[in-house]
Amino acid sequence: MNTILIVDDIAINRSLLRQSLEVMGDYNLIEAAGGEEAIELFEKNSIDLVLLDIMMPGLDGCQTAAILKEKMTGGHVPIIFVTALTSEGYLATALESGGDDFLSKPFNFSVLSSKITAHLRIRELSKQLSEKNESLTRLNEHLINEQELIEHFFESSIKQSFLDDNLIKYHMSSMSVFNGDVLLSERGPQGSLYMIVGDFSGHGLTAAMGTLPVAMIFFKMASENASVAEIAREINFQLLKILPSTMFLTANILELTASGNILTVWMGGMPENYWFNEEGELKGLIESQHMPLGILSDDEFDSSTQVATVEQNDKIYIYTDGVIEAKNSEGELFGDTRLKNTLMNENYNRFSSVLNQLNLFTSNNEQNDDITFVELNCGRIKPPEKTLLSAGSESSGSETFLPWNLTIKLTDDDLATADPVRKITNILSGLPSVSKHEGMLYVLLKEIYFNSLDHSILNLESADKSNSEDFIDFYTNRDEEVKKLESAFIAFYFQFFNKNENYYLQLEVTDSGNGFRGHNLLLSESSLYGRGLNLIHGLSEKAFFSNDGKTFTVLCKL
Amino acid sequence: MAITSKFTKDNTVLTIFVEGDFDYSLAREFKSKYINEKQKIESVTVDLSKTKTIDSSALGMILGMQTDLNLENNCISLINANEVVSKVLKITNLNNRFNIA
Repeated sequence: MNTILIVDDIAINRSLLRQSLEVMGDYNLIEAAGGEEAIELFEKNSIDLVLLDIMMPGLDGCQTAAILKEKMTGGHVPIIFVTALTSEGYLATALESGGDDFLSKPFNFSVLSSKITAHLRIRELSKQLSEKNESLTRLNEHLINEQELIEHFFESSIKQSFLDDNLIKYHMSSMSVFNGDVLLSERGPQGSLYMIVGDFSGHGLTAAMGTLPVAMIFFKMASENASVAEIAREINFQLLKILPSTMFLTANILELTASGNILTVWMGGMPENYWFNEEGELKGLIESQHMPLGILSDDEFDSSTQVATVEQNDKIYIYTDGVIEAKNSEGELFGDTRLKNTLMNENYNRFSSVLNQLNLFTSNNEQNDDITFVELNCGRIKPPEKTLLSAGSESSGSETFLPWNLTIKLTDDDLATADPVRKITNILSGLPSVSKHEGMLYVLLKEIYFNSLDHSILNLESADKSNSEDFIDFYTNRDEEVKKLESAFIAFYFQFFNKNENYYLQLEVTDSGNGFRGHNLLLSESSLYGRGLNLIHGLSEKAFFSNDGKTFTVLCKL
Repeated sequence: MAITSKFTKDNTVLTIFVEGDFDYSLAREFKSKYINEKQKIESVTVDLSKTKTIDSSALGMILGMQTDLNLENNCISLINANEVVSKVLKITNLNNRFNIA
């Protein structure tokens, strides 16, 4: 039911209006005897229409109307002046003060009726509008709230990144709350550094959505020591499945080996990378060779990578197209040339220099794309804390592992390949129980392997190595001899087990040779031979020969 | 490429850099870095910052170099070894003969 406020200082006028309105329809009627009272009642009640006398003591109708206008919060409330004044000039002033219409006294019943109906209709529309506004405002608040939650979600899933690494300097700025650029880095189990720099087509939340599966795949595969090619293939495959056909990811996926000298890159759709050496010379550009991720089917996809040998403190600059497409107030682009010149002209602090130039160039101009700029400083990566086969160490940590046995038998062709011990180590490093001891395991296996090969199978005399000339001949000789082998083998039998809360790796090596006559080789440490066995002893708990020197057993505590 | 080296101007001080796995396969290359200046060399630094692993034959090569150059103990320095390499150097007690940093 609509509520009408009748304002008149003369009681008889009010009751006249009341009687007429009661006849006209079902209204809730409230009366006020003056401007002040009208304002008070207007605030207390939800009024839909005001009938206002102009000539009143105290606040007159015009003043009252002006105040009421200010107090309308729930949408427009029509004010109709009821007056005996007929001067057109005066009526105009009255309407300007905030009234919507007027009705002259003595009033005509049907005019009153139609005016009230018409104004109440406007009131109804305005009320609906105001309610819609209110619900939109609430909705907006809700959205902002949700956005904050999503932001938090993104941050916590992506921030496990290894970006605090001193090898990486980066700048990321997104044009909206959500970033369609991706920058993730992680250290692999063998100490190498993995990084992905990418740019989803589009920006904002839709573009950012894609970063979540990419982050999940990237972190998982990096932790499994996957190759750059494998990571690229998997991300492509997954994105193709989930992304709408209009979306894709231009990306640069890199791996820098722990030694900091080999850089493997898969690059699709990204602007070229600049590669500088420590002296500030441009060593080259690394260019995209592929289509972006999420477009080609797995069959069509080309995961081939580029491999570069980098030097200590070489710097690689990687960026998304937001850098070169940044605009100044004239709509001019920052561009390749400006970027290249900035990089070339600065020797010590290229990273900051580019950011400064970019800032100066765009000044206050609104950002039109997500921007990512990264400097990778090639250097030796700090190895993870536990990389040693720590013979004699006290604890093996809190992680628990299942026991396993493994046999690897190398025959003629295997023995003649380049580095069979590296291949065995690679197999073992895939096992979580021993993976962190990879480096030491390689050293140990190599000594054991060559001991078998040299002294049991090939029957070479270690004493040959007592001066450096013979030493070289020894190895040349060995390389030739090993190619001639027939039905020779070296078999490795590994047992990993837990005993008294310590983990052990026991290794039995048996070969096809005549057996190792080891004791006479444990000579003084200054000689050029015998160090291999000393090394094996130093790295293990126990090491002994059996089976006429054909079997060598080494026990290591992990 | 696995081994690079540089001399001071008078060829008395040699620095050798070894990259990757330091083992028997580098024997000839390693020797070639010092043998031509045999008479002049007074001290050698082997920079192991890019060395991943080291085996007993590599230690043999370094000892062989000491003999070839007729150097006193402590004229050869082994620097920048990673954890794996340091451990091998320690186990073989070579710190008595070489400066290990």
